Amino acid sequence: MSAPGHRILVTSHGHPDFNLGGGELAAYNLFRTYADHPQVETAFFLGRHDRGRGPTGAIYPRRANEYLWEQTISDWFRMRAANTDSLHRNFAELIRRLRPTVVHAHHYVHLGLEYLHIIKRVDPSIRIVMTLHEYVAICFNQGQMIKTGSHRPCFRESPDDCHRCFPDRSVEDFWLRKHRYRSFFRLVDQFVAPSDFLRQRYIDWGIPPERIVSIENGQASRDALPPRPLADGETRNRFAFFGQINPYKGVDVLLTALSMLRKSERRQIVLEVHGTNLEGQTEAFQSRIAALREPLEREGTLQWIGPYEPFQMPSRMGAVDWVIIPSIWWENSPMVIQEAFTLGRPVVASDIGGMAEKVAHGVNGMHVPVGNAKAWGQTLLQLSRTTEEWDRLRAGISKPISHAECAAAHLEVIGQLEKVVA
Amino acid sequence: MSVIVPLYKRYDFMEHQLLEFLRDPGFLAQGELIYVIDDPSIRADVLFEADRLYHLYQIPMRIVASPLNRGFSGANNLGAEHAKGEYLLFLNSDVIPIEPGWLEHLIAAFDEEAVGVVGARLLSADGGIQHAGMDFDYLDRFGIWRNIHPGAGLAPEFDGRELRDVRAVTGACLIIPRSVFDQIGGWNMGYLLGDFEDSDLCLAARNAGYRVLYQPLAELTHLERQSFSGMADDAFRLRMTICNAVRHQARWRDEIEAPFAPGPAATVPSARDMRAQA
Repeated sequence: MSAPGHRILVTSHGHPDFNLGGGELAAYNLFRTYADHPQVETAFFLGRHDRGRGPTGAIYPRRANEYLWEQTISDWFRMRAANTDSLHRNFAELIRRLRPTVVHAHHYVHLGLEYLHIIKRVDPSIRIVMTLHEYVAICFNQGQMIKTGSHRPCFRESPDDCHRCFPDRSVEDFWLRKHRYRSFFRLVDQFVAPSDFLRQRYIDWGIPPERIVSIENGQASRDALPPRPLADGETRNRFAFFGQINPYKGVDVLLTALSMLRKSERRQIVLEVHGTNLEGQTEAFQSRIAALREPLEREGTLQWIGPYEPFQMPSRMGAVDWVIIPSIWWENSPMVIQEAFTLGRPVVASDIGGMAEKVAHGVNGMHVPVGNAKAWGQTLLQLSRTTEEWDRLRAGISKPISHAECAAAHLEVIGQLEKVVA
Repeated sequence: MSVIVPLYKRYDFMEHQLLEFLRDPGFLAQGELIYVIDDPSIRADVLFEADRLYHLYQIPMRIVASPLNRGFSGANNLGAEHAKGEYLLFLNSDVIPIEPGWLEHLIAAFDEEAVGVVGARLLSADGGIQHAGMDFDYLDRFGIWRNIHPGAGLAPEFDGRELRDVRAVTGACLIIPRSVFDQIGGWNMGYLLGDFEDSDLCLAARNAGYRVLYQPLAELTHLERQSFSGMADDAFRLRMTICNAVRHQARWRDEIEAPFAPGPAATVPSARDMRAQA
């Protein structure tokens, strides 16, 4: 196929230089891979930024073809951009000057929904591809689709259901919220879901099935790590959690699980927590974690290791046997699962949503009933007693798709959109 | 065509309306959009918001600001004074179109003979019927005729799809030719706090020899919170409703009590009839 020479602008709610979330990384990795692709003439990146002086609306360069935008949200319920002038002045100007043929939008949080409209206003022939990272459009509870208060999984949205989670917002308010999202989502030519689970949730919500495809996030191509060397008589007993520590990620379930085991059982297990952003959580949550953490650390079962940079992931995963994801929300496609599989580490995960989809129970990892501390304790205990089960599950891992394969899948979709235009 | 939307207290609905107007070429081709600020306390905010909305969506609109709160009729009449269109569409700010084409359906109803007023089908946020034409119902305990919404709460498939004659339609979304509007003297300003003005307008049009039609193909969402009985809950509102009703029937008793003979367009049972059969 001859190169149509796409000009692709990737937009993101943050730049990974400053925000190391899974969505920001996925967006940035794709931008870098687009830039190297023969079918792409030029790729650009625009990440929302916060210099601590408010939403000035300013856009400025970060490095070649990468820009930062000081924008934020004035109304999170409606996901409305704080700086409207900046939308129709410098953002519109950016679109006019960069002349993208495709805008690959990775988010609208922190940016507002309105920029989608500005793109089409500047040039209706620009195709908009949007990757959905959580359930923000569907659920006002930070896009988690779990009930407020009880933190129980939520299975369906409706103005009445949502009003029960947020009694201060009326049924009509939730109708308007959905109406607004759907109005802006109509401007999107193609949605991308990193998991089939998320795709189906958005279809149930109202995105036509033909307008949303599943494409997994890409990973850096590299060989799996060797197994952690075992001393004589040692078993596969080292587990690690990687990621943010917040009430949805289930670290408290994990710590409770260990606390519920007998001391003699606990001694057989080592849990490492490589967690970030605990300081950003509520006082109540922080003290709950601190109370659970202290006795386990004293006994030596728990090692609290702290934040990490992406490049440190291989060395940290190399020192453990299992990666665990105890989230109590559905997740989408947690990056840590793909990273664990790339590096050759089986995954133990909650048995719902994106986690249950990406981890095959008994093939490349294990499922544990979501939020069930007793079951988590028993599963870790059983797995920690053997080496054979680990060998078997490691052998069941297939290599995740690479950045290049991920970009190629997106360009295939973009190529189809261009055909429709032509 | 002039679209007149009064604003009272809330103005956040404007953007939701504009998002729908924006994707409706038929609407955009029709003419002018007039927002009437009927609440001096929101004047500055509305002007600010209108500026933001214009820069984002570039839909032209006129803002008419009243220095005082005139009420529903007064605000609509003020908008009409500034309107240039041959037809006037009165739209509440909390009425949001569902799909493009609703305005063409409303205008198409004027192909019928002697049409004075056409109303739309309104659904509530939960998707049930909120308005499919209005009827009158006698309340023995107060000796008044009140307005009722037959079929309210039912799924829209229980309402027919044919254009039909009705006794009255809601003022939340209705269209009337300028000539008819002027002939009957516009919205009657004698009612208190927004009640009965719409049925009054319809009865005045019928009294002048025009038909009032209900067009189910023009479908919009109305975010009004409804009281289940249609009667106000607190004593003050209840007394006011009775006052308004007494005035209403003093003006139109004959029309209200006359047996209603639907015109030739009424070929399907109304939602009310279907409910009666059930």
